[in-house]
Amino acid sequence: MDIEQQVADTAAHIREVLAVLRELDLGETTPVRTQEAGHAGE
Amino acid sequence: MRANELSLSEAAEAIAARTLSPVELTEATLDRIASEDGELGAYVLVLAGQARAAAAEAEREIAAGRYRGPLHGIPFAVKDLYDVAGLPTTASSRAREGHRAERDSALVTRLLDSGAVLLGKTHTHEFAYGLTTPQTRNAVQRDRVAGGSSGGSAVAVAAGMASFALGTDTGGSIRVPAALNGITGFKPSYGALSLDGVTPLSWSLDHAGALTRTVRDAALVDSVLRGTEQPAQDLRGLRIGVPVNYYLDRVDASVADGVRTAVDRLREHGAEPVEVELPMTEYIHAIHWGLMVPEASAYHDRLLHAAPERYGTEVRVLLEAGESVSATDYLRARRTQAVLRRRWEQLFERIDVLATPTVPTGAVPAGQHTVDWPDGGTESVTDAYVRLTVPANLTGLPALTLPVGADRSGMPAGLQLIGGPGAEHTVLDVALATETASARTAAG
Repeated sequence: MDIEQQVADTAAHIREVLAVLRELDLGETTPVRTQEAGHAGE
Repeated sequence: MRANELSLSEAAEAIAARTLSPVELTEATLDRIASEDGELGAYVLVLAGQARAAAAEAEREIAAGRYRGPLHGIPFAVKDLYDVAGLPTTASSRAREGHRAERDSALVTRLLDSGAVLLGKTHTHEFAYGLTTPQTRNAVQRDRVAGGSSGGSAVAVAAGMASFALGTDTGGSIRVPAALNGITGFKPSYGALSLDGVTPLSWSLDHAGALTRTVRDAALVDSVLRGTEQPAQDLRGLRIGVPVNYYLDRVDASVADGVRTAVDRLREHGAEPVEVELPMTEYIHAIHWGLMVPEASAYHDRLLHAAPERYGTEVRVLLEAGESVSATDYLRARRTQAVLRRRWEQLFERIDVLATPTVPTGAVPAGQHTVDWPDGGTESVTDAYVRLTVPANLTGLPALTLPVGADRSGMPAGLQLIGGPGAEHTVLDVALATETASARTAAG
């Protein structure tokens, strides 16, 4: 299988996996607080 | 017993007592690398001359009464995501050809300051984006996968080719290879150890940590890396969370038995098992992918477009596919992570530590891509290996694996202990007690 097809298939699979997150009503939830992981530049 | 077969703690005690020389220990370890690593493939680069010089310097300092502490004269390796000044950080990828680090990463600096002896750099699954590390063979059975992505570090430690090693853990990349090679791996809380000078996979999930042969060794390395005291063992009254969901699904029966036996031993030592139902488990896989996949693509953006052919196919496909994740999907994953984290932290109001299998099965034969389960389902090897470890990355909670039992084919398995927020000492306490109880049982 060529690379383009593999990328398309993988992207479709990722979309399918992420779809479950749409089930949740997140209300006013904000993203998790960005913590200092110690990566340079953060 | 050759010096390289001593645990780190044993070697440290012998060096402090001046019954073992750092030079002797380093030479024995380099001999082992010379005889075994051609086949095992744990190292990207061995710094034999530099290690010999550092060991000789350590010996001189100790003889002169300038003992720096328990890692003085101890040989270690680092996963090749950690920068070491003057050396390439290859990330086990052709995409890094020509790279040269200008300065040491923060943890390498800390270890060198403690007098530890750097042996070299170990293989990672390319850019830490995978769970097998195909360049490296399993230390217990060489036709099996090493696990990943810190596969080289795990095999180097398990095979006596380093007294300890640094790894990184984004979904289980310290704990999985540690479990598959029968050793200990410890990832403290998110942000507890600096990742300055470490090539990232996913900024939201990356953790640093160490791989060691024993829990006692893990506590010792942790005491230097985090600058904290070593734990004391007292389990009386500690509440051990025993999951009634998620961690029971699709787990090799022998692996599950090993975990149950370990929990029984902890109960005999005064701990109290408490059954717990883990919340929001149906979202774990999606949150993991929703964070890691776009963050990895973002980090590699420039290089991926400049020279895609320099990446291995597996990683290139993931990185290119990750560019299609929308900003709203990414933020939905981050918001869901916030809820998950809160709900899991609340669990630790009722328990002190959660006891689970580390991996659902031991090391599979190299080249095997899927795992078939008795329920008729099939799972990719990568998804199977990451499934039980990734919650501690999403929540940022401290987690450790130590060798417990084996799977049905006799390959090592692990007990994973997850602590509450900032509860590294509790995790180490329980792990030490488990290790001690196992040693007593083995001694009969």
